[in-house]
Amino acid sequence: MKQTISYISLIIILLVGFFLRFHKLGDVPKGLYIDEAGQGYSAYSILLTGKDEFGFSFPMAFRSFTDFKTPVYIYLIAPLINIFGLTAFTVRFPSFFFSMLTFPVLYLLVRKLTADPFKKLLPLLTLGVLSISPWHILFARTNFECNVALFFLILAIYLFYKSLDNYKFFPLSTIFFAIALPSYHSQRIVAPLVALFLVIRHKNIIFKKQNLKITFLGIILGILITIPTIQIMTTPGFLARANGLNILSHSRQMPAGYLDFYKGILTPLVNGSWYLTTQEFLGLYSSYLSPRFMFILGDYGPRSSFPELSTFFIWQFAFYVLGLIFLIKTKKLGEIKFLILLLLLVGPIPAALTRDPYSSIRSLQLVIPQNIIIALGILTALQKFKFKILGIFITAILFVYSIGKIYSSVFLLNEYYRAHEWDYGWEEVTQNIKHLDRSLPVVVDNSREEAYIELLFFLKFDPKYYQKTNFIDPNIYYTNMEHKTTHQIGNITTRPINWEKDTKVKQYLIGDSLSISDTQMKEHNLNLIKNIYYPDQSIAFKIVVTNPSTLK
Amino acid sequence: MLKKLIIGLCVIYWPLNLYFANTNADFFKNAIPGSILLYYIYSKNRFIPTLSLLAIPFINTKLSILPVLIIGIQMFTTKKIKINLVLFCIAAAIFLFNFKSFWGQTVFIPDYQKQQEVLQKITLYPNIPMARIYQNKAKIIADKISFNFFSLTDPNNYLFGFHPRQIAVDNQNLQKLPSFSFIFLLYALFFTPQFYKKNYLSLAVFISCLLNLSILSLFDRNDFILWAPLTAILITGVNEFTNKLAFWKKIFLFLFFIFTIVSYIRLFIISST
Repeated sequence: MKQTISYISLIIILLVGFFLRFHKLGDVPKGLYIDEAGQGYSAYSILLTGKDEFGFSFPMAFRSFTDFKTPVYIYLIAPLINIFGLTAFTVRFPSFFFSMLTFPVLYLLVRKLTADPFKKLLPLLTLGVLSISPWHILFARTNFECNVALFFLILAIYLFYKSLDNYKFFPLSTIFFAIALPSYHSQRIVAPLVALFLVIRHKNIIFKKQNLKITFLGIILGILITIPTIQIMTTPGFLARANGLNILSHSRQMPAGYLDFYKGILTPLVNGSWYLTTQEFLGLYSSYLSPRFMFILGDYGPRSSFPELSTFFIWQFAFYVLGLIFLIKTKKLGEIKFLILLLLLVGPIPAALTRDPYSSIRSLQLVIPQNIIIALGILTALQKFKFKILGIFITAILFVYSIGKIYSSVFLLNEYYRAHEWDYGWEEVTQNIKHLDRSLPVVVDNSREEAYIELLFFLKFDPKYYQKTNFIDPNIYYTNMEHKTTHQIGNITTRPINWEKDTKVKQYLIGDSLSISDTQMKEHNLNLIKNIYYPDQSIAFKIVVTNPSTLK
Repeated sequence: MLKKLIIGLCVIYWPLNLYFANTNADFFKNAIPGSILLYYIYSKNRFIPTLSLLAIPFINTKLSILPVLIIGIQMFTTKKIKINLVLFCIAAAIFLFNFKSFWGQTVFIPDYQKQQEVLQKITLYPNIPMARIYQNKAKIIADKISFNFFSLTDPNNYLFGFHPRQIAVDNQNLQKLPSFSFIFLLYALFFTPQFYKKNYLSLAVFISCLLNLSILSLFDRNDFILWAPLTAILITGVNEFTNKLAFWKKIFLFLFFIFTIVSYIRLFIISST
């Protein structure tokens, strides 16, 4: 009977997880953010030509706007374009797919590492908490590489533990650790650290005489997979992201707490980089473990959060505290205790090395230990609660409430309030461009947006032609950090509108309501072709045509 | 000597920072309730310290409910029910006397702007029951209480002055403890045998303060009342940490002294400008 209830619960949890991640995958969030469009078009270009849009063959870091993107996600999109076409659904599909694959792997991992009294319920509760996790859902519905990278990390850890029973799995584990490394920037720090601590903890098995051959094979395979990444590791392109954001570099921004008014003899102490950077790192690190950030504030980024939702639900706070106390006090939990603490302590490091406060993207690996701790808290509460049925009933109510809350935030509020943040409107713009007079040039304003990538994506512009105008010498692909401001896509040019010159030529102008304001419309006698609206009925874009003959 | 030095450095930081950042009147308005609570926690005799709690609402009306909460908890944890009941009634009477002024400074006063936002959001829902569950006036109050509660339980509030997400307005974002004192707090909470039994009074005061502060529309500076229970918890942590000084602990203490001394120097430099 208990077994049947467990299976039914598992099926319900998986269905809920599936629904919250898959429902309207390509349509919600409405719009397609430029990074999503960029990755999609790079994949499209690779699929059709074997080169990215800059004409470079199979890069290990994809040149983007002002930085470089990790390659794994883009190579995962490429074959999908053959099946689903170049759509928002396609570019978000790998995130969804690998987030769902995380479920069975995590279940097996938690079951394997948990000691007997908790073995039955903890894996199930962990999946239950994960299925409604706002944090995990956000990055399962959008094109961010972090969820795919998280899957590879969890799989690598699971295979590592599996190898302790059957050592043939060890090379597989190193392969997935090596794949996790180029999957997302954070994993360049997390994956090696986790691997290192696991090796230190289980060194007796790994360096056992009869295992040495397999250990050596695993290490070689791992290194082989990592070689392409190592080759470009010192290039400006590879380091662009880290250099721009890390707290150790003070060329662009002084560290927090810098006293600019003080120039006295104690400057090396009070404004010392060693002091301020350590303080900043500790402050950022601690924020990833702080309930205020976890349950209330979440990520401040409009695309890395949903309205009125943090990374966890407020009701989970009590269980988090309970779980944390239980985790530290108990000695009967098994190896899972070590893994939770390891991921909890290593997880925030890459994010804490960058300036952004509580970056949920860079710290996604924390979703696993923090979810397990909440599940542990629920388990402890259920065990201590006298009225078991009532306890289960309350848990079920909270579960249903949370599903509704996610629906409310993701499918209603986010769509209405944050369409602009998700670059809504470009698909409609390209639909309209297709119906414009092709003999006239089109200028798309790009003062605030990288418009060209959206146009390339939604027009499915042939990469062969685009590569001709966008070619970069392969020798400087990873080193030249120059960024073009004007792009030519057939008869479309993306650049800032020059009102003096552009109105003297008969052509179409496209821009948002700031770039083409009502005053400019009157002043330059522009004819409105079409307004494209956000869901809140404010204007997203205006398509107008110039009237040079009527200008004085 | 070492213990006393560590405790001193940890404990003096918050009052000193509060003193430098405020006028004398504001400082004493908040420091006196904090000191009364410290006296309450550390006195062996219960009667006079409990009686002194009754002075708090007269010093700061925002803290009117605090004596009610603390004495209320005390009633259930001590045997002297009659005397506690009398003190509780007096505390409740003082609270009622201050009620109007207290209520006006809480999150319960209507927020017109937030109400309008809720009304607008309601229109986005497919049906009324769902809209009512997720968008209602009670949520406005609940959101404010939880914002306060989680701000007051945020380690970054105490150790880093809310960095990296300072409260934009209505908060001085003062650092309350030297940042390296986090280890003593962790030691107290997680590694002290029978911590919750030994420190039940500090925890009761801490929870009472938390409840009072969480319902205030602005808790900045008034949160100094948390200094007393935190001091007690810190002292427990320092005692536990310095019990057996392993090598890593010595290294940690070295770092603690270096960073704390710099923090103090910075405090004096900032205050002198």
